[in-house]
Amino acid sequence: MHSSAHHPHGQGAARVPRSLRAGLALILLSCLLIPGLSLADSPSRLLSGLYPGLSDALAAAQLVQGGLDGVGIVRDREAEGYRLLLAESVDPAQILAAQRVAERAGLRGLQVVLANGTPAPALPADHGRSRDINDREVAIQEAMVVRGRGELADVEPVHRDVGLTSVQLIGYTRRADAQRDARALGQAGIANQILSSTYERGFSVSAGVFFDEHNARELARLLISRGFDNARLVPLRGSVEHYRLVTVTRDAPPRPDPTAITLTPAAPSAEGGVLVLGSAQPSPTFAMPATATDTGGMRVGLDQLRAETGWLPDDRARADGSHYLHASVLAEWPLSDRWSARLGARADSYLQTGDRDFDRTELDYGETYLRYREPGRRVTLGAQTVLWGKVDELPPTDRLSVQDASRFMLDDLQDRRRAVLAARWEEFVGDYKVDFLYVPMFRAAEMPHEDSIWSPVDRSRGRIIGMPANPLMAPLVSQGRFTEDDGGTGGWGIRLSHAGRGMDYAFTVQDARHSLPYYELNPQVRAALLANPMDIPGALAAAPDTFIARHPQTWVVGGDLGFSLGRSTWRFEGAWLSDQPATTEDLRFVTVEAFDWVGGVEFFPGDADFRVNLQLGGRHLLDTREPLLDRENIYTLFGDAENTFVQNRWRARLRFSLGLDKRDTYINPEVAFISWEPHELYLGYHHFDGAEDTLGGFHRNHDLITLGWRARY
Amino acid sequence: MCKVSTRSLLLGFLICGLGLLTVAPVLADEVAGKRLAQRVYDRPDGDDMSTRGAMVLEEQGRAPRTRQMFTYRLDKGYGEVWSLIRFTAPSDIAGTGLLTLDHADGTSDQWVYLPALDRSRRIPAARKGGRFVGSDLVFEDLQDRKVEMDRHRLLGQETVSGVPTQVLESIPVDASNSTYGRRVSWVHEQSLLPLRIDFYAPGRDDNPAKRMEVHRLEQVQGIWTVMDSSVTDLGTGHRTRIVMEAVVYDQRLPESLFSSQALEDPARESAHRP
Repeated sequence: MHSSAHHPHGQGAARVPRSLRAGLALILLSCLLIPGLSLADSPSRLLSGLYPGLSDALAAAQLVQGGLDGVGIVRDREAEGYRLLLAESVDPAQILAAQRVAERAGLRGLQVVLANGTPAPALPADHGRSRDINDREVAIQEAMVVRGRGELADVEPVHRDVGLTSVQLIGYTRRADAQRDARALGQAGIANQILSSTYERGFSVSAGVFFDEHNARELARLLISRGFDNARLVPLRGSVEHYRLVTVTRDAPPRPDPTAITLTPAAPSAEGGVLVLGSAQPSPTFAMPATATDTGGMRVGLDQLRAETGWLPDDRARADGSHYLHASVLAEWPLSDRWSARLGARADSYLQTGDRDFDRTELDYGETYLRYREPGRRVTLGAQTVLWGKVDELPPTDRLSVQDASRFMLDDLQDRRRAVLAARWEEFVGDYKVDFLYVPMFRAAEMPHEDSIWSPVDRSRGRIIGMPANPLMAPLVSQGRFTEDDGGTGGWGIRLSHAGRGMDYAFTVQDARHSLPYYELNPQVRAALLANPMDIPGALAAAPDTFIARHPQTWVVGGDLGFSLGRSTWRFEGAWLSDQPATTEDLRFVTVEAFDWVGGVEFFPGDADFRVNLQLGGRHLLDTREPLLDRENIYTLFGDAENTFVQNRWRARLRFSLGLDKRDTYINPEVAFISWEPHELYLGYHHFDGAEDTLGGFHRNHDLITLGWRARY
Repeated sequence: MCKVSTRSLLLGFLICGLGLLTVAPVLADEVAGKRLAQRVYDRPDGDDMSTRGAMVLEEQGRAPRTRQMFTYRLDKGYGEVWSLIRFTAPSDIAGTGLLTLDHADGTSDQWVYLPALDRSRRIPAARKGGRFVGSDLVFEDLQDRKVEMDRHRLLGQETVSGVPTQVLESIPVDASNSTYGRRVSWVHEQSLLPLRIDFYAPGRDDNPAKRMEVHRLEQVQGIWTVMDSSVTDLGTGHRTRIVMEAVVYDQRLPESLFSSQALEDPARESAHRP
């Protein structure tokens, strides 16, 4: 049962005991060597049988190269073939050992000869190589050159049956039609040939024959895309003939590095499948992105940091400094392929110095949610920021997000939103998306401290932003008490959007609450004031709260559209609101219908890095049956322009908003050093000006010079 | 009937013959050039491709800036090519995505996803100039450029770092659809990939403004792939090196990967990362 294990070298070893074979061989070898004793200096050679071709000899050499040192190849001129020189020695034991190795490798016809006289020169078998050449004459010429150097060379024809794929334009019954399309192919740079079938009537045009079917498919696709709907793949059988030049030289041929080939200065061979050009480039020392398997862990850390100091140069301002610190952190867990969770938190510190100084630090939750996703669906539950719409700065259909007005409009749009507890269901069908959002509890806009210069209520002047100066209201604003009506649900909305070829568009219907407060004069205070306009203390005493910050519910029906035209992108967005808050001239709070719209174009002058985004917006209060204190039609030109310079190390940017119907100016130039990634250092200026009932006019003493640092981690 | 003298006839033939002798080599170079350009365009590059790599912005005397990214490409055939680039670092652009749908008729749609806003924005695909994320690549360098958009001419054969190449000149047929006035490519015959491209600004034929050089090619799944290359602004010396660490072909990327849904949700694409 165990015999095979004891005779691992095959059946021959099983027939004759190994020790007996070795002894017989040694005796035979000794007999052979006896006649040559007088030539003791002449070694013996162990030669293989005859191989008619050099490639056969090289293949045989590979079988024994692992067990023998220095296998050579000699040309046997008489027998017109090649033999392997397996060993050359005066020591019979060495010859015998080599013979054993050769036999085990399966070599046949071994013979031991004396190397007396001038033995045929042997060349190292591991110096052999082969190269395929299509032209027979070229191959023969090269072989002659090698032989002329006293080295070995053979030219061997190689025939190979192959499966090919032909790309053909088929179905021509008239040769003229085939010729017409053949010419068209030729003009497109595609070599072709007209074929006529022996067995069938008709013609076809062959546009190429490929070994690799993939290449054939690529060409067929190309032809079909160019209108040749009759392009087909036709399987063919064929044979390929070329000539293999096999050489064995004295010098070792260049060996390809298994990982790379340096191509200079010698002409390269790319047989290894790798091509390195020029001197090797230093290895990358930078980090590579994580692979899919690396992303399975939890991510915890800083999200954003920001520090800004602001100086107000205008002596009429209530403050001389307005400073800001911000930090946000997040933790993300990819719980499984479908589930993920996120926890976010933020801290904001506001410091104001001057006549009205204060400092305030607030903690708030950031986006904190549980998310489920599957193909075509995503569901998110928790605090989240959902920003609908297409245009920048003031998207009219963005009515369910929570505005952050704690710094008025000093920051970009993405920094002017807060998270709100909501349930969101996104359903994707092809290029369409249905987005449903429900906000169970209303969260009002984040507002500044009442002493902040960025507050919409200026108690020192008795003014509310956006309203004309009113001597009747001023003492109420200055001395009154404010409360907020921010209870109830936040509303819901649905948005159907399409992002596809040519244009993007969306429609939305929402039942929303106004995020920014609108200050209603308490009806009891109003009644007292109207009864006796001179009795301000009486009016203030008429109710516990003088003003109520309202967030009226409104229906919103809107849509947006975006498309590219040449090198510009156009965006349009509009929304009808059923209930826009307003105040009548007799100080009564009402809601009226309104229509907000924005149309804009983004383009790149000179087709370079300079980007300009121009937007024109309007707000119209509709169906106003009585005179209002509010502006009934507002037209604004706003947007931004941005450019990078000095090798993208610096960025210059200008944000602006200009009233068209009334003077209302906001200009914010900023220069930022952005090369120190992910940090940015910036210097900015915020300029406000305008008529008294405009935003710019309300803040016209609040020009601000800022110097800041921000980083995103 | 007018008579044509033998002398006039001979003179006519002579002029025509000289004209042909002058024009014929030029025409031959153009035919060969277009053929080579078509072969380069049609070279095997898989039905789809995913890469993991980095873009390094290098400048003398300054620390390099690195953009890490994943890229995906789907060749739907008939000239319809879709691609998605997702940046993962630095953190200020992490999550940013660029989705490009190049259509068979030469038109394109392009969106960029801005994670800070959680919004994707359509951007003009016809934009050619403008640096791509601050690199030395402009948007045109990332776009599928059809062969017929340029006039091609074979200039000859040269070696690049010891490698024999064919030199191909490409000049836009319509000057307005390229930021370059001329491109000269050194095309490696075996891989059909340009090992070097010199880009000339319009009207500036004397010196190239920019140079792309390949440093390493590898056969990945039998397809020649540029694994290490650089683009150098020859005026400033600023260089962008693009290194691929992993490339996978033909993993049957789904069409849904090239949608606004996947663009706005990086988690959907992470399963296909190489």
